Amino acid sequence: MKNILYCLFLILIIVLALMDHDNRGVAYNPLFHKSGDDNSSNISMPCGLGGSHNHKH
Amino acid sequence: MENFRKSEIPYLLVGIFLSIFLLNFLYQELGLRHVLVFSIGLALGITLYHASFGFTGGWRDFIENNKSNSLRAQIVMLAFAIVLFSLSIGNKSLIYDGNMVGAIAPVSLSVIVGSFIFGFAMQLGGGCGSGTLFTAASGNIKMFITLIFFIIGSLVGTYHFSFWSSLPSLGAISLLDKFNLYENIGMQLSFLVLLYIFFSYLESKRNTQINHLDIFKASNFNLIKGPWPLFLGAILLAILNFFMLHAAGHPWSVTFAFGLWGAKIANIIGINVAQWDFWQLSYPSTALENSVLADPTTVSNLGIILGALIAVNLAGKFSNKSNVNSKLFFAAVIGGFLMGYGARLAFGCNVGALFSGIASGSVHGWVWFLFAFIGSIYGVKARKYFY
Repeated sequence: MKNILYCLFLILIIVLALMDHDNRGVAYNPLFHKSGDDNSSNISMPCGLGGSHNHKH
Repeated sequence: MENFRKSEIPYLLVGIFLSIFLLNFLYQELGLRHVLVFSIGLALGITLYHASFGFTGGWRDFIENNKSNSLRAQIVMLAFAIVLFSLSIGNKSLIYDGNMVGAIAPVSLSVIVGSFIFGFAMQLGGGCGSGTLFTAASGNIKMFITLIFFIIGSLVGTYHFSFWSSLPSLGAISLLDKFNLYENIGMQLSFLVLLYIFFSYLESKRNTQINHLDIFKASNFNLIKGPWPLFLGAILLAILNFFMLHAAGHPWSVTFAFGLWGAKIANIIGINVAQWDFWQLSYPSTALENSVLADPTTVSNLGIILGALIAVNLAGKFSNKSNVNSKLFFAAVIGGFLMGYGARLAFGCNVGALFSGIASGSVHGWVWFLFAFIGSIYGVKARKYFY
């Protein structure tokens, strides 16, 4: 029973993610870098805080 | 198959079905690179589970019993990753037309405090960033509680971001920028060799003899249902992080997604986190406005969860341990919350800061290692009050 509830909870999390996807959409795809796009490396996310310029305090 | 329980086949199928569904969804909605990131996440989840590759237990085993096999495996993993990353960072990806960036972060007071807190807390919570994910996914109720409070702690950490980032800092120090490729690799590998000798010496001093081949062995090794030797786990994790670098453009990271999930939930219940300084930074603001599935860290974390679910059912060990007494509950709450908070201060967890940071040649990764280990020494002492 607990295992079934666990799987249902897992499915619920994925459903919530899909709902968020439907509501928010993808205005910017962080993994869609255009060739020669200088901003691509700035906005990529190396260690949990956002682009490399976010790390320079 | 020996020990394979038929009762777990439905859960195995749930894991496989959800993985196929998400692979197709990501391909249709976001593109091939998200599919690759998710696939790497799946492989990470399976590897972490089958090799039982966690930082928390290994560090504790060394602190309490001077057993260094897990630490030695981590050193091997870092050594491979340093070589692979040093040859890649700043160059064009093998997968997409763009340069890759390392996990470079400042060497600051916030890293020292955050990593100490994280190291302390992971001994209470019973798992590190990656460890919490794969053990929660394999059905451990206590680790699920840890994960929930990890998310809450990460969110609170983002609220205090301005204060911590205003503390003294030496700025980001990248060894790849300061030295040439060979100097960087030579210097970091030499330091790892010294660490290997140091840990081995301490083990041999206490346990009289040390078997350096123990990381190559696993009792009843089985490729499908595990367990795998630590060495295999170490090599695979380094290679998978290398693939992540080439697919996502940045190294493997875990905890940013926890803060993001917390922020999304906070938004739903009416807390406007978009006004917080952290969520006005370029990537976090973009991630908050976008679909959560556009965030590569979220995608890889989902892969790890489903990969671990598949692995635990292949191993025939899927069980929700529900014997969480009040002491364990509080250990999970405190440990999870402090890990989340510490990870935000320290620019990542054992994955984003230690593993990916050191592999990228960022000095903050080494600082993280040192202070998280010191924190773990105190965490092991505090753990005795809860376990």
